[in-house]
Amino acid sequence: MEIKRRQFLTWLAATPALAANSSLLMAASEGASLRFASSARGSDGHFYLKIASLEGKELASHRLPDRAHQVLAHPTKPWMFTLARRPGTFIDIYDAQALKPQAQIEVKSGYRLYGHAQVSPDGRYLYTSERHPTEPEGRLVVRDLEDNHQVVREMTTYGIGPHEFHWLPDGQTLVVANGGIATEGREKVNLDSMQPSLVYLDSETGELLEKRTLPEEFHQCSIRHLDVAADGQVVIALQYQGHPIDRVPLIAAHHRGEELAELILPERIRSQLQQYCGSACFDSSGRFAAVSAPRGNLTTLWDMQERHFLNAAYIADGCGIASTQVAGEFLVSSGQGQVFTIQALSEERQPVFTRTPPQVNWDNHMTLI
Amino acid sequence: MLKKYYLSALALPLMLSSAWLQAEPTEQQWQTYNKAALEQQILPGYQALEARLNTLHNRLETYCSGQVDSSQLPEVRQAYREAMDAWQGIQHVQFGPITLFMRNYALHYWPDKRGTGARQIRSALNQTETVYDVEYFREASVSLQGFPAMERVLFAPETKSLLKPGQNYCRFAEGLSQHMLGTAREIRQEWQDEQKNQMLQPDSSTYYSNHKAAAVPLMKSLAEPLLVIEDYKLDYVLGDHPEEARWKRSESWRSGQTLSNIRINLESLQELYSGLKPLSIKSLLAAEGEEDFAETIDQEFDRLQQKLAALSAPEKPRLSPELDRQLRELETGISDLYEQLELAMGVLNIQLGFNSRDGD
Repeated sequence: MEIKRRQFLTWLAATPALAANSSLLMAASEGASLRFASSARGSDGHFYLKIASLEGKELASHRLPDRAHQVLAHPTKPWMFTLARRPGTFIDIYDAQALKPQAQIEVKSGYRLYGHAQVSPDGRYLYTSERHPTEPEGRLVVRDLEDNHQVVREMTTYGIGPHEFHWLPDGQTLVVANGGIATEGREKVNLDSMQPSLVYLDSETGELLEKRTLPEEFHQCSIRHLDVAADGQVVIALQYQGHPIDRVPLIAAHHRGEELAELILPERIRSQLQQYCGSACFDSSGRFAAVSAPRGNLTTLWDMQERHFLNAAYIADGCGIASTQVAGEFLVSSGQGQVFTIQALSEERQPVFTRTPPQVNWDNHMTLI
Repeated sequence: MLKKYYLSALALPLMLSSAWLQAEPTEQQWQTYNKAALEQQILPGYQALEARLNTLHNRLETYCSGQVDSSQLPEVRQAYREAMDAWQGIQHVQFGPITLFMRNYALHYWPDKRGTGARQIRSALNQTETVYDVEYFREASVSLQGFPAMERVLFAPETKSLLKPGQNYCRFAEGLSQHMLGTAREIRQEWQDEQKNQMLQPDSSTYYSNHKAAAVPLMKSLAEPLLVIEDYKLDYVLGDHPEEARWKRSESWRSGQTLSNIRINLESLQELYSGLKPLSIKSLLAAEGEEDFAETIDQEFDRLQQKLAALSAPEKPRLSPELDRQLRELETGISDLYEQLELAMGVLNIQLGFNSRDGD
């Protein structure tokens, strides 16, 4: 489905918050100084944190001990945090201004990372989702960035296999995707009984504020990746562990106090996604979201105010998504080396690397810095 | 997720020399290859599928009209076998219109690990009031659709006595063949109307960035079906030990096509590898200075075909120790061939998948 620019302008008029930012629509050139960061596998088979400009110039290539997952920017300092992919143990900290390694932290003995992290809004604490050595429920582990990365506390996530988590706009509450999958190494061992959930936690006390699950028939829809908009809406990318022909939710949305709501995909698109979504991201306005499906080679685009499907961009093996400063615009990285700029409201798709893309495999997540 | 992805993804980059990474086929070469694959294999493949399904449908209609007697049942079964052969010849293409609306499962849902097929078909065939029309099959469970369901109806011990004009078996089979024919027709039509242009003229659509990107799904179609043969068509049947082997788990044991299915699959893959004109993957590899390697892969296809030709399906559900051993050897050969093709993709600088194969 193609939404014309005219229709978009009508929406803008009806959306004051977005209209206030509408100058951003014409401000693509402002992005000139912007950079993106992602982990990647290089052509030598090793893994790297890569930083590149939006013009496609590589600015840094920092070797990592092993395959990584999320890359996260500190809110005030020039630090990039790169998290080992599950069941890894390293947290790499890199100075994206000086382009120098800063530190590398290992998790506590017996713990394993799930690949995701957040920094507290005041910049002091690093939160990571981790597997406890003995307890089935996952943990958020909190480290003090001003005190030698000491672990200051940890809290249960009230579910197995916490994966991505984000701050709510209040800066106090965290929303956590409990994937529900118990693993030994990378092997999944509880697919018949898995119970994924979306939970809201108080980031200081660890108190469980709200817990949501999909209807029992969808208990094999692993809730894994999410993003939060400025109004508190959560967009969720699901990965179904059941049968390839089952009709199950693959993308969902949530607001505090509501039931989880499936976002309805046109059957033509849904049937191509192979039951797997990889990453979810709101745009800079909070009105639009993109959810990637690397196995289906499609990135779906959504109007999140209407919770309505807009479009799907073909991006082969595309997974990592970041919003740019332009409303409705996203960067999407491909495992085949290219990074594209796509728009929620058009079928335009521009390669960031206009000549030969780098010989890397961009990993599941990326961020704008 | 097929198990081999992970290992080869790790091993591949370490085995490539830097010289390999520098040279790769040109855009023009990929364009020529894509066109050859489309015109020499994909379009004829779907045309053949539609034609064979049309024959099957016609034979069923004649048989079920009462114009011929039950001595003509072998003709119907032969039409089924030829349609299945046509499907096996194009089954490896798992991109484009076949992936829309679950058409791949509607044509061939196998293996049925839930084991619901038998019960559902029994139940469906007992409903005397049901009209088995296109609408019925559009809504029906995949267990009631495609080649496996048709095989159950046409090759059951009771087929001869129950496949009668006006009776449920006939009505069901006619409706099903009509539905399969319609699906094949849609796929062929969409390839001609849309997918062909997407593949041959990447600049004119928002799909593939260039000719090389358009070749990636073809390269997946060349390599990945070997994993399907290994993991499902062989390993699922053989299990880990001879005591676990079950021939009745095999893909087409009722119609006696299990082994010929693999033969046809390999023929199609070999055609995609070395049979296209004016250039092939084999010739592209040779142009990269990997002539011997390219020839080794081609010979491996030949060797596997020779092994297959020496086999015949067991007459009992139990496999003889000799057949069991031969099938396991075949499985190993298929696995080795897959790994060689993965390396070949490295030589051609083709990425078959990263996040899509081993994401998190």
